[in-house]
Amino acid sequence: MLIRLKDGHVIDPAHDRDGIDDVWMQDGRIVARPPRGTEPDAVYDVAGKIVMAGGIDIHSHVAGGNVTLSRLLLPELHEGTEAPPDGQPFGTARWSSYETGRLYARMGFTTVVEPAVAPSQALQAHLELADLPILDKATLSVLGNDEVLLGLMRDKAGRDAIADYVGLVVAKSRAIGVKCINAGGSAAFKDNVRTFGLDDVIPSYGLSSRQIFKALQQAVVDLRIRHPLHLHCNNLGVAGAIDTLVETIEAADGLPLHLAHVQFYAYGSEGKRGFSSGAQQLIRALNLNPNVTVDVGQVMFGQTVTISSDSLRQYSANALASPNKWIVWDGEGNGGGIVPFHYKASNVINALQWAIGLEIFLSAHDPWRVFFTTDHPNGAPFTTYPKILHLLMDRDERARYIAGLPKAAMALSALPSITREFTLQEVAIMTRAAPARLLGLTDRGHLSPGAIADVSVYTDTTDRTAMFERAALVFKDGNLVVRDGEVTEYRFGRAETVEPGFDKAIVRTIDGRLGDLYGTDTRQFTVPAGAIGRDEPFRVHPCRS
Amino acid sequence: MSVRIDGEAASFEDAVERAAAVLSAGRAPVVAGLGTDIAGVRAALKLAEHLRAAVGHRAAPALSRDLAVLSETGILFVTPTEAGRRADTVLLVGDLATRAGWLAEVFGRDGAPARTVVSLGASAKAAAAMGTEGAPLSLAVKGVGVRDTLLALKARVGGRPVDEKRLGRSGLRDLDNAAKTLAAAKYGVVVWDAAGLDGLSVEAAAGLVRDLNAAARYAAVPFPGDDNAAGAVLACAWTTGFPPPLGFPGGIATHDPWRFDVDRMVASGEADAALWISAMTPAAPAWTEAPPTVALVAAGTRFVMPPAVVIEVRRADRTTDAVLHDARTNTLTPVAAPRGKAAADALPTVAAVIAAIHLRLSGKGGASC
Repeated sequence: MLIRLKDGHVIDPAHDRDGIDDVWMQDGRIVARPPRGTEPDAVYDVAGKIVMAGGIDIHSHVAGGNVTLSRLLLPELHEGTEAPPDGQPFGTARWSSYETGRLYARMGFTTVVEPAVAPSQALQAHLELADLPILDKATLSVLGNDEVLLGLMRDKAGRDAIADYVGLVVAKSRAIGVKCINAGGSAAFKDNVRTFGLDDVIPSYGLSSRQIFKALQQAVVDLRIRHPLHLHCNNLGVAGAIDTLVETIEAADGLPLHLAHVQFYAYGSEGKRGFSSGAQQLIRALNLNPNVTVDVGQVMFGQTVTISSDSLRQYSANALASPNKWIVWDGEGNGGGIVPFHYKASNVINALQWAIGLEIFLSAHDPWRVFFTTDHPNGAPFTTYPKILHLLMDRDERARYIAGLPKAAMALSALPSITREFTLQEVAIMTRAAPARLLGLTDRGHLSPGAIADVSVYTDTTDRTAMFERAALVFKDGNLVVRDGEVTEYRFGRAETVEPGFDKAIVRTIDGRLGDLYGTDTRQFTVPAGAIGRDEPFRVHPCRS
Repeated sequence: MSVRIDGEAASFEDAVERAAAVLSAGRAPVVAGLGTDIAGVRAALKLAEHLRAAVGHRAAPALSRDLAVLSETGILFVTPTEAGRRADTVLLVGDLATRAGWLAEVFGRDGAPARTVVSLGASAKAAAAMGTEGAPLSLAVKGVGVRDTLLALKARVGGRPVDEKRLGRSGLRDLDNAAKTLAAAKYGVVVWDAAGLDGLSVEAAAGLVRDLNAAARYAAVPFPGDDNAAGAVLACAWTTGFPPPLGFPGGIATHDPWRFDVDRMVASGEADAALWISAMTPAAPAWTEAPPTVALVAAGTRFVMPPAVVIEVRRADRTTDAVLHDARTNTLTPVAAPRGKAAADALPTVAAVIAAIHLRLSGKGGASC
């Protein structure tokens, strides 16, 4: 079926397109304008509307063990209010996989990355993602606190063995990359350590956080995985954590590194509360280290729940739980923690967190290296994205917020003096072109022939919240799935994966280690395609050649 | 005889048609048992939403005690695999005799670390399964049950006073000794099975873990339940947002442990149609009076009350590849059926039968979404 989107304002930063044009789709792909006289099967007149590639979220906790624990911890926070439309089972069941897909799709997002999958829970995560409609998905495998990696490092197994192990885990658990969360912190927590910095050492292994993350960073490079090591640093949420963040950036030594939700570290320790913005220090470090990318983890006000595999940090945050209940768990690797939290506009610290996130976005020189996230749901639910885009694109909207926030907080941030407003081009970079490039997904994030036909059409209005809350049209693989902000039908996407090459001899080694440790083997993190319950659940993308 | 309608042999197609008729005739149907793999649970939930049926698991009484603690206070837990490798101190709470096999798998492996076991009501069989030398430190206070001893222990761990008259001087001394032993752990775990405890005991055990963890490292190891109960909880939670018992009043997924308690609904006559699923154990419902019932069961199941429709199904872990919760790793795990056995089994899977019933009811495939 040949589809023509006619006369839209096409914004495609990957190809410097920004003007009135047509977009053509056929058989699930973007195609070139056909020869004159070819009649399309369907024409959508999108004159006056904005046309972009489908949105890509590189870091959003939407599936897996910790997400489901949050569902069980907080049933009272997600009681349903409406029945789903016909043909969309569970689509309004709040906090369900089905609802997550529906709500992302209506905002024009077509790909989401679950960034924290414990290898042993990979099957569960993929089953949950298989029930998340419309979008394509991808996962990152969490390593860096697992006893196997730590054992290999302690025993000086060498760089190749570590790369082989990492490659094995990524391939078998059907991931697209590697995540490292407070390297060594969870392992140290199991040894009853309660704070853990970049150069602190796990008592039972004698390894520092720095050594572990650098070993993983090297392994990702050696395996030619396109997505750089995705790192959650030490000392999340701590006043003065900006020093840890900058030290980590410097420790990357020029190799590719992605730092997650940096807002939660961009904290100085100045002022009478000992808490201030470290955003400008972060920006300076980013400018000096072009090998590093970051996502922001913007905070918005309201009730949410923090979900993290940083078990040490989540345990230490349990006194802040609101409502007052929490889960923390230990596992073979990271474990995790679920701590509900309410960000209050009246709270100076929370207001400053909000300002620091925006300050990072608006001070960054290169939108290709600063990614749009709330670390859903840790800073705020992903449903706040339209409001955040509005704040970035409209200084008057920011001024309205700032006027209602504690002056003490605003005095500690540069935000009130920033006049920059994001353009639609910059929004498309942050939410489409750059994420695709960072993930190594060359088939999306742009609108040139050959790309998968994931296309979002928005009504161009100055109320950017309204504009991005409800896409006018969304196409997934060339199929119309959203009209006027409502999902019209379910389709199920795939999980995007990589299969890095590794020496198969490592399987025996790892089977042996898992056998000794736990009486298990590599099947513990192997996800068979036949177990997912959908046709062709995975798509493999090439590693760097 | 693998398919029966009103006790008589029947074809699969006729049974599906009758099952659809029985279930759609109900104004308050229930989906009960739910002893099936993840594919079966996913299919059952879709059908339940369509029927607006209540959904419960056979292990509901125990499950609901653990889930209540989870949602009222939260919990600090550890995977059994990591507990088995790391724990140097284990407190067993309750009898646990029926969990001896699981305890042996988790704690009794060759090469397990030396550990101190404290028993609060554990059977000899459970204690023996721990694989440690010598008898466990037993905390049995005469005339005081497991629950009250646990509460008193929690108080002493927290340095709070207890009823010395009731516990007696030796009882108090034993408690304080146990509290000291537990506090000396490098990594301690508290093990329980909610099937053998009341709700307050489960809450106290979870609270004790939190208290002990303030200084030493501690975590809970609750038994996850039989018949893929923990797997059903996970699948229900990601599909509807909630664990069972749940229902779909007005089409809205809703969690309410009393309202959707399927045994209560059946006993009170509120339920007027039932789908019983037990594909992992040949178990019939224990109901003494039941509404018209469709039963999807493992071969060999004997019924007190003859169901309207019986369709025998494959054993999820024996003759069909399945995804099940693993009580040792605490994760969903693919279980491959032996090839020969799978090929030899002509029975359908739970998911396939439910999809057929759903198709019959809706005219649409249940499998596509």
